[in-house]
Amino acid sequence: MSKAAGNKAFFKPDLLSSLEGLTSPQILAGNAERLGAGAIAIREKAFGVWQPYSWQEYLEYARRVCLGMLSLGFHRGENAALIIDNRPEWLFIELGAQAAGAVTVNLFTSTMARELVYDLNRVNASFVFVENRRQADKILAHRDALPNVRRVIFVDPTDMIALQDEPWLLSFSQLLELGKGMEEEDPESFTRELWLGKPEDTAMMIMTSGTKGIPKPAMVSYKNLMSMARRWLESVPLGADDNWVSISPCAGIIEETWCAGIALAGGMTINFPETLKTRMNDMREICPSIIVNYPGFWERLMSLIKNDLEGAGPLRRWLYERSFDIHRAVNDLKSGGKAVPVRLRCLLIFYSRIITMPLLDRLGLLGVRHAYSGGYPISPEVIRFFRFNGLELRQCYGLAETSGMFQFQHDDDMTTDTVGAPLPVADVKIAGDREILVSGRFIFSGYYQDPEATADALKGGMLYTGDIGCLDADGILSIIGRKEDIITAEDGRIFSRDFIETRIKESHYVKEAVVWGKGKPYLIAFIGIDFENAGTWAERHGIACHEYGELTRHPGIEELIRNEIHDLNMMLPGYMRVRKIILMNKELDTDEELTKTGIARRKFLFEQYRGILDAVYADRSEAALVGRLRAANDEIRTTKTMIRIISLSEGE
Amino acid sequence: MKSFQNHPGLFAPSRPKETQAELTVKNLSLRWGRGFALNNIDLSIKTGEIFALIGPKGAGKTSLFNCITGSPALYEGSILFNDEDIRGRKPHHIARLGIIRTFQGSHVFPEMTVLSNMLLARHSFYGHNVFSAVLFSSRVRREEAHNRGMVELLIDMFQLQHARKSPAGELPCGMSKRLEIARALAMEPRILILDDPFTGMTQAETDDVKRILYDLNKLKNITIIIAEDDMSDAIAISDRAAVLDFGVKLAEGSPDFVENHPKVIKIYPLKG
Repeated sequence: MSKAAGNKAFFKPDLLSSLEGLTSPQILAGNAERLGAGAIAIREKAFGVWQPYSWQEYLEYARRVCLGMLSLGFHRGENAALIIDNRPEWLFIELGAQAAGAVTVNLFTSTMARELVYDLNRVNASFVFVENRRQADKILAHRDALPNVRRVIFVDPTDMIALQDEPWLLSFSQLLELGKGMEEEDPESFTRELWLGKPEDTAMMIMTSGTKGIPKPAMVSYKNLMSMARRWLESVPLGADDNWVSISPCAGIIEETWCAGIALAGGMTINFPETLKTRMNDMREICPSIIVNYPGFWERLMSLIKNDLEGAGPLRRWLYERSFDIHRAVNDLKSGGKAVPVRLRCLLIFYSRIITMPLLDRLGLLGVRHAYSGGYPISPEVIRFFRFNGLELRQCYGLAETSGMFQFQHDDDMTTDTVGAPLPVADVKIAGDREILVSGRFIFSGYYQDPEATADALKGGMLYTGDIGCLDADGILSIIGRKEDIITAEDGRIFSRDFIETRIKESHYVKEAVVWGKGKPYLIAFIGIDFENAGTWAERHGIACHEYGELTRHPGIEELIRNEIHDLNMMLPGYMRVRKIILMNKELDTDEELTKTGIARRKFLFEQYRGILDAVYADRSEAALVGRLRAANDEIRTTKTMIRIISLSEGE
Repeated sequence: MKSFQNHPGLFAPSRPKETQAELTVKNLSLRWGRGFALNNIDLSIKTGEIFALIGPKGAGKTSLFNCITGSPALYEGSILFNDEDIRGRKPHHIARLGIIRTFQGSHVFPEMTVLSNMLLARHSFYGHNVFSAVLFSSRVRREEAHNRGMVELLIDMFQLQHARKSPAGELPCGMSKRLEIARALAMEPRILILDDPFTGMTQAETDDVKRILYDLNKLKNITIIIAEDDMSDAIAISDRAAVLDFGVKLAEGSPDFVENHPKVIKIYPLKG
């Protein structure tokens, strides 16, 4: 039986339509029954070898987690927080807790202690699952500030000996033992508990990204999640033969909705890499058939390829450039709806064999049938780059409030700056002020204990996304940007800072770009250089700089970035061009500077750099920046640095 | 870390006989020309201890380790391991007894991969000969799998997974140090002697390694001696400590006692 036929056999229409009447743990039980011990549900690379877990084992673990939690006095409807990295236990706990009637909330492991305490209190978590000692310490240190937390369960027992008498703490293996005990006492208890779950129940809370401020927990029901899963599975043929590699953070919207939703419903295999550092290599070994990831992932991958190319020999580079041109020519013809001549087709096959296929193979992308970027805007140049390298990268669009990505480009969509058509049953409208409004069965039920914010977002059954966009005649949606980031030019044309920023970030020497200038005579940009790539460039040009701040102050680097941005500027219409740039003297890495998915927090940055804005618009070439540095022990120090303001040539 | 979780059996306390490691140093002196590198040192290290040996550079810590592991055999006094005098034994014989050490600088095989470096440490655990190796008999297969398994556990513990296949010479300093400690542990030591292990590691790396050593000591009852220049990392996890200066032992006892000893305060003033 062919692969596609196999998928179809798994997805009988009645099976798909039944999804919306089930909870995730019920679907897991169904998969375990249907696919049994033969099919692999989860793979984890440990000790250098991929270790498989069948669907039955998956269910077994989830069952024990569920019963273990009940025997510890967990009540249906309470909330459980998970602060866990990408590993099988994450899913065992997520599904097990949901079977016990818990509403799960995933929090990022990189969150600082005080923020974590705020979040745990915000969501009223009664059980907290933590990855390791590091996470446990954050919670133990603020025990008095967490009155609702009854139990803290840790997955990794390394270094826990010192804490073994702590009554609050329990290990994951102890939890499984408790579950096993309860199962032996009452074998039917799990089935009873499993079917108490209703599709209308809240399954999980997804924290919004918080570009505007503090993240809010959005309540997503099983029905929301499964209506989304059903639409994806109807539109993209995925099934038990397909692999998903879990590489973005568990608490992010993509990983949550796929691993505990769409991939589960589709019976796909979830693969967990050995460590964060080995993930690209692990991905290569798995060869996933679908990748949905944030633009940051694709941008990093692109700069990785470009950087490697710079070090390649002249012949290889020449061949690569030829291949790139051929792909571009074919792509242009296709998107213009024209026929591709035979000569070009032959060349395309030739260059695919010698360049693009080996390249994609090295990155583990050769088997990818569906590649999507979503979460926040991506530059069309990145999309084009991957398309001209043989990978059909497309865009998708979704929010925590829509239970994930509800809109994506279909296979025949050749455009690079739209997010495609909505999934069937999603109703997308554009309001008078161009805000995107969505309705459908996947729209969340509200923010947790925040009726005001909920009333702001949900009006008359429509979700007000806060994004500005436009729809064309075929129902294809383009996103302009976040409502608060829109700038109106003198002639009334509107554009988003995102639009300019994503284009500036096309340079692989630029990692961060933040544009500013609403209500000012011209636009300026704060640039964070890509330390690795700029460092390699500096090394090649005999510049000895080992520190980020030092590198940004070097005249050679200034010149490099100036030229890079000048070229990109020229591609933008006049009113969108950036006149001045400032190289940020430190990498954006703290929670205050970046959201968890790696988007720069503009508000915070402007507060930091506000002091020098006057100097920028007063045409000075240098300004003193007074900054605050937060040390590891939360101590705040004040620093003063001179920052150069680089002007770009005008009028071109 | 998956090692501790997936293989609890491997970290179950070993039989007392297998871990017994009583090291006694009696009146040990080592001369270099007219001066003393070590002068009348008495130390006794008990099974299952973490022992911190503190002293400024040139205090004689490495000389002491050299004597214990048999490189200069011409010392005065005696060194007893489990009541047996080990004077005159070759370094590799001493290693077979279970006294394993690391060195101050980086002593990995730079051309070999991390994995090969680690597997080399398992060399003495292979029981087969060259013929069965050629035939790849079931015993050889079993041994290979077992040794690779042991090595993988340590690779996981010391977080070297991403460097598994890269040459050891290309590793940054901190990782190279971690590899060395992991390799020493692959020899299943009774006493692990670490000479200045934390130099070149970041604070995060140091903390991780300290935790691993502490856990292994408690779970596997491995006796550990750590030499360090200052009173920070080693003493924090140690059960007992001693301070050397110019080849003379200034104090020996509990970390608190040693830190507050008047002679020690002269070289290491109390913090705060």
